Amino acid sequence: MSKSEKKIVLKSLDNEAFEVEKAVALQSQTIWVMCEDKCVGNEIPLENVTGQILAKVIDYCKKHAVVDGDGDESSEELKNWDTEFTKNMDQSTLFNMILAANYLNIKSLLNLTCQAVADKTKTIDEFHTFLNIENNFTPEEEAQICQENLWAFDD
Amino acid sequence: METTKMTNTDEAPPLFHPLSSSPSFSSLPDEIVVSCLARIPRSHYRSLLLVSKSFYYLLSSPEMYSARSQIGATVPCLYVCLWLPKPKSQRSWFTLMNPAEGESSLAPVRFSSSYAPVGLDSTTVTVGFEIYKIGGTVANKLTIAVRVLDCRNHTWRRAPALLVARKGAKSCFLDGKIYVIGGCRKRKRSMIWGEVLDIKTQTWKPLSSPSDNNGLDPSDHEVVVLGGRLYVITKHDKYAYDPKEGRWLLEMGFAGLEEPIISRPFCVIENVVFAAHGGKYKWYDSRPGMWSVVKNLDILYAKHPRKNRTIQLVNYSGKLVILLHEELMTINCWGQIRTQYMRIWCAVIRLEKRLSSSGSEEIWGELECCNVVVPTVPKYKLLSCLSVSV
Repeated sequence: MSKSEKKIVLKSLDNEAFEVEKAVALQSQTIWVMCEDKCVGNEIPLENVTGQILAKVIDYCKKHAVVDGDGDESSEELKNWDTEFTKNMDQSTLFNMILAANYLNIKSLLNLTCQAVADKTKTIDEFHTFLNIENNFTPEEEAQICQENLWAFDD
Repeated sequence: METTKMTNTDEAPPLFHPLSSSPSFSSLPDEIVVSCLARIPRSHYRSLLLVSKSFYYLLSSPEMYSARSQIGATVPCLYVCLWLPKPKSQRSWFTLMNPAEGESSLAPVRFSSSYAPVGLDSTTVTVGFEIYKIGGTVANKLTIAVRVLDCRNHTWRRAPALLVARKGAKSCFLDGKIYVIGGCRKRKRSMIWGEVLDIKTQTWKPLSSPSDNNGLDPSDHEVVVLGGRLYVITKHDKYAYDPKEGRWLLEMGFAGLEEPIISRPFCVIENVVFAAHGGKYKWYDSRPGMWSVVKNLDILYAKHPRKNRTIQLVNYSGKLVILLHEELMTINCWGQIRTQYMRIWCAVIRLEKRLSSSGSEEIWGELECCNVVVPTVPKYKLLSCLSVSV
């Protein structure tokens, strides 16, 4: 295999180009299918991912490709790396990462980012603030649900 | 298939505008929202119902259960059925919340379909994520009805009716079948002993009786599953049924098993029978055939003097859950002692097998929590208490 065949260029929505090893990029099922079916050459346009997010996705894929390949890093270390990776992500980055993982079809990254959302949000307030969800219940509906789920023995 | 998927993705409008500053969680596809929610401990769900309308529906959808089982996040949940005096008698099913986080409480189950009638004296049994409620009486009439509660989305459905009406029967789930034993008043000899529901085919078949003598008194027997066999225990006899051979066996063993469990609370955890007997919690060691006291439960005994009666023991995913009944007395103006109110306590105990210095097996318990879960009701009846994996 020639050197050029081992590399692949990913182009983001905002026209940022990233040259990566094929083994790194092919962790994305979407890219895998594109490479196989579309014969797009070495450059793959990714219309749903910005450069800023794509850079992070590539970081993740590099880390995981290396470990899967040579296995010098223990799964424990990889787990810690994953935790650090999502730990300080703000809400917007995290959502865009989820959407990118979904679009690029990278199962492990999607699981990781969904878990990060779950870890950061456990109360109603966190859902409203961190996840930016609007409470669309009317006060009457809210009261009814409260009533239905009320502690049964309160008088 | 992958190609089709790609084409779809290409043609579909973009899921979001990636350059917009902050996409909202609600704009994520439903399956992703479900996948995130599935990773949040189930005990938080009750409060999360109020986040938004779409959350309210998603949280009680069957997809939530599939997502949780896919990531191995199903958890045991304790379902309690109580009869309470009117006007609250309609609120009869509850789930025990946060039993391992210091304090437990009962939350009413919100049914998403029409509610099954509140029957008395039915027998209930867990099959996976479902609870079968079998027979009993409704408005003082014996019933052959079988209702099934799907605990993933809290809906009731009908299952094929019993062959004969039964009240106070005992049941168990073994090898893909529900065995219902006793509780029959009718003198139909072939069916009087019991019947069996094959879960796959959803058909009932009568279960032959182990001997030629008569049926069982409705409330005078217990059914225990041990080592893949079904044991029917009465005051005088023990019968063993092997589901693989499909017949009753003569050989019995388990000397002394019956006395502490007949008409008393008991449960089986990993092939060990636990019972509340003589003011202590005991376990049955099948090899020497004797009952031993669970060690290290002094804190529990200190909280609960003998007058607080144990009303239920449950296998809660390997832990022992104990429900206790307490009567609160008051003295009226004539100086008479009256029982005014009752309370139900719940204790959760983690169990551990240890070897004693003499090499014999011991079981030690560690009290995880113990608090009141039903405060001051004038009257109640505990109808069932089951652990379900949801």
